[in-house]
Amino acid sequence: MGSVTEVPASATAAPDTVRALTCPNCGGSVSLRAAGLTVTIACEHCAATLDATDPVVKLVSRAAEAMRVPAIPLGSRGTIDGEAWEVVGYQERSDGETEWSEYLLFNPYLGYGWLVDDGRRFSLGRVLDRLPGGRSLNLTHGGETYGRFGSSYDVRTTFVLGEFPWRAAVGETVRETVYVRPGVMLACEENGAERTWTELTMLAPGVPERAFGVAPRAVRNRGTPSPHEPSPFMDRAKEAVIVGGAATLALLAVALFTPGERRAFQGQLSVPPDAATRTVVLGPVELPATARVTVRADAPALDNQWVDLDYSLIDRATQASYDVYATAERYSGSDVDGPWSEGDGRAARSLSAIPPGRYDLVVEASAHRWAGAQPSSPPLIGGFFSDLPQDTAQEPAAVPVTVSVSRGGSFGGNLLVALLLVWVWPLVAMMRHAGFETRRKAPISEN
Amino acid sequence: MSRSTILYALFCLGLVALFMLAAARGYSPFVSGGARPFGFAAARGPTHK
Repeated sequence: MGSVTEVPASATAAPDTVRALTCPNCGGSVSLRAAGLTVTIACEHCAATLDATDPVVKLVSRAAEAMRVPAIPLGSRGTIDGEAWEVVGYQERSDGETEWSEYLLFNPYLGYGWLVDDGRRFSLGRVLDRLPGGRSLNLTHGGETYGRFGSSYDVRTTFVLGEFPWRAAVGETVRETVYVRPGVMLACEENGAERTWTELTMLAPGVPERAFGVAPRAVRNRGTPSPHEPSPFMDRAKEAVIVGGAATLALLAVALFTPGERRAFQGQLSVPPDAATRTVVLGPVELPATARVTVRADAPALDNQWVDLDYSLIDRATQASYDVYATAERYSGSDVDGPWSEGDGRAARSLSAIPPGRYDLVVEASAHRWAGAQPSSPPLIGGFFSDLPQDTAQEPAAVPVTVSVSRGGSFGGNLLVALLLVWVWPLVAMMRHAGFETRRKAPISEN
Repeated sequence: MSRSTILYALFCLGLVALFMLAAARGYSPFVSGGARPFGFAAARGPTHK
């Protein structure tokens, strides 16, 4: 190990606290920024590790791998949340699966801090001066609760540059356990000699880049988030649910307070089965304003029959015609499962947004008998069943049909579609939030 | 409040307004009116058997 010759600080170096050393390995100038606190210093030029505690600084080890340049150069100064920091050290670490970078920050009045870069976001770390409370799965610190994020794991230092207040070296391994709440992580690092707690607060995108004058990093919502990275979709999902709920209440209120149906006309007609179509003009139907019109037919006497009804609502003034058709039917019988019936002899159809005016309702009706109907029990004649078929015994009676016209009311389909449209975005936002949380918890889900 | 939420709120506002207008005029885009197609006279009967 060679010795280091101390040389005067450069005239361009702003702070007087910086001492310039010469690396015994490469001869390059090395700045010592936290003299008196720094234990080891890694050469900025060759990454050789030097012992800064000895007045005659010695070479501890040469770099085992190629030199790397951190994104934030050593010596950079920046202000985060009103506190000025200077980057004095840099190390890269890995847990075997992911890698991240840690910048050691120094302020003569605040001590040391960390700027941790996980590749997506930056977090500002401060070493805790008191232990968190609570049990193993949940901790409390500063009135907040932190949940344990997975199991403990080994963290290995893979690259070191700059000065550190301990003997930092490549290959240094600690056991790490993390506890998180959205935006903040408590990291516990243990080795054989000590245990250190660090509070890492995630910084807003762009803040550290602006502070240290590096290119802003694009915000990425894909990939694996940090354990304490708050979901960017959480607030949007909450806001969307609130707005969607308010819109739902408004839609329900409109539907509730929309005037209901009012009967505008009611008439009757009788339709002989299996006969020619019968045409009847009913009315007048008065519509004072544009409204929904519903035409209902009620034929309770239907028995294994159906009635085809063709309606034409004709404006007396303009002869404009609004057509619709319906079928009222009812069938019944008996089989091995017992008696059955189908249909109730009613039919209702609505017309949308009929203009105001005086209308006639032209009804074309035709009734038909179901060919597959079971014959009724033959009548008893003198204590014996008659052999005569029923339909030859008497002609079927005409089917009475009551037709009523009502105006007003709203369509349920509109409300259903409006509710579906309202809740599309909240569902998308919640799914994106759930997807983010799934990715965030993926490291512990895979274990 | 995020921009997406503001846009979503405006969308909801428009939707409620359209729903109010449709309710006031008794309008529905889903109502199928019209005359029975010519020659549309099929024999009917129960469908559950």
